[in-house]
Amino acid sequence: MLRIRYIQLKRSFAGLPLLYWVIILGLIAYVFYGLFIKMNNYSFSLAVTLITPIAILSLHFLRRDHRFLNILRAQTYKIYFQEYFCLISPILILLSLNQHWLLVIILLSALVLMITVLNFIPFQTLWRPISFFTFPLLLHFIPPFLFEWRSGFRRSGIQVLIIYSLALGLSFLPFASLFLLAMITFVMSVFYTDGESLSILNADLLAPKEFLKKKIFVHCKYTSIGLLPVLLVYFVQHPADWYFIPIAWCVYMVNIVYFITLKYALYRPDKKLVAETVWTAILFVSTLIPFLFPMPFLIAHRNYSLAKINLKSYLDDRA
Amino acid sequence: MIALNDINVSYDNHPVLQSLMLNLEEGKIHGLVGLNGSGKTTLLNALYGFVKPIRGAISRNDRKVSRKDFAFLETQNYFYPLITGREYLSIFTEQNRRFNLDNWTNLFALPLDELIETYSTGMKKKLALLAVFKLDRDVFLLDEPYNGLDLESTTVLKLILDEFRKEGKTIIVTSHVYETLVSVCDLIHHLEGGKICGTYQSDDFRTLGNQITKLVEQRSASTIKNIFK
Repeated sequence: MLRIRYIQLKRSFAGLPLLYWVIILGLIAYVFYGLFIKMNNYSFSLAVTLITPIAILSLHFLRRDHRFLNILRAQTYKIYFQEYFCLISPILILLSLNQHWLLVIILLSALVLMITVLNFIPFQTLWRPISFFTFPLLLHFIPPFLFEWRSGFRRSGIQVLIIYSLALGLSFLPFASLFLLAMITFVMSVFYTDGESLSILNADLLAPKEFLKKKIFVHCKYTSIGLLPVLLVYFVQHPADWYFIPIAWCVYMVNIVYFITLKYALYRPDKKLVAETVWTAILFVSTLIPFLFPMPFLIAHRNYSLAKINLKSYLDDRA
Repeated sequence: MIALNDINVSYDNHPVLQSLMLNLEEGKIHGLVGLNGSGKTTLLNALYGFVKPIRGAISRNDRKVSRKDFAFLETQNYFYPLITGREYLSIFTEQNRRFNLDNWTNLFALPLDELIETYSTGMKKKLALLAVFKLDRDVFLLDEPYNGLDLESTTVLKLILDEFRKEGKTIIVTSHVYETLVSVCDLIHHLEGGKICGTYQSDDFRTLGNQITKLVEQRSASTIKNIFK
């Protein structure tokens, strides 16, 4: 399985120009070094240790090869362990380099426990009862015109719920909730990967500019409403850090605008967005590296103009 | 009156509609008939504005048409993944104040609270038709509305179109099955080689049917003979 992953990785990077390699490797080295320095601080390392299994769990629910894995039931424990161990190994190395041995043990134990549970309770068994009880209630709060959200929650709602609960539960830790809310917006990227049909696009008969404005306003409004309870709880727990809340809110809104503008800049009717994971990865890395903070905003701004041009072909320009 | 004047549409320098002239009287059901590749779908796409003619103009009562005039049922109906039929319909703003979803659902027997992925081809077609009727525009463009419908639904659709005609709607409909057009249309326009080669009233539908059959026979006879030689 690792060999398959290696081939997949090699294929996705094939043909990448040397300059891109240098930039990517440079960024990886920078993030690694930055984390190494930051993880000298025990609280930060603890937060990373707690967030890593959540990220892995999110990734697990995002997997689209559950049916394939069902065929290999006897080996799934080994497959999960190999893959997820490889993914957390950079964090394990950083924790070891900072001699946080207890956290290394906690992270490894969490991984083993998580894989054991996931292995004994297959995805479908776990998914069905949760979706059966939670989604009708959850979808009740999502207006029908947010069809991307209704579809997205049916696909990735469980991750959003887990991360949201953790963001509420871990609000006593500095920054953990704010970071987890950002993670929710990353998970929400999958909400914006399917191109709707021309009939849906033309349902309101708006011109490209009005269409984009309305879409961005409505989605930002409902994202804000959804994230508000956690932000309020965080404010109650850390009133001295109040000024981080509007900054974090701006980051969340930029993320949503980034996904919407990206979707419509590359929109083709009835087609899935191409290379969405690459765009989400760019956004994720930009959130981690301070000097890249403005990048998502700049990309969203550029994509807004591209989306206006692209939508001209699909929305009515005769009216 | 919807007037198509000297409409020319090409895909990759391949002409599909060539100097097409057509007047569509309002309040009637117009059928578009033609063999595969004759340009039926392109004509509807040009009317709706999905395709931009390289030359020519489309007007309605001497003003430029806009999408506000039309409700369009596409041949292939794509539905956004993981949404229910009810959610799909709620995306379309209700223009028709008399549109009663429960009555329509009873008529079409649609499980609106199920995910659309679980629907059969016919159910998907009926759902797409409901969205068109909900929009309640003046002109309905229906590209192959009978595809995938069973006998009962086909009859029901004919009756519905008849009612809409009584309300003064203009309906432009295409179908691969000529009989479905004959039973519902006031006029049938014969499209061949990107041009309208004739408009027929109900008295002449049989003549048109014979012409099309003859055309198909002429085109395919030698090939069929070769296959069975």
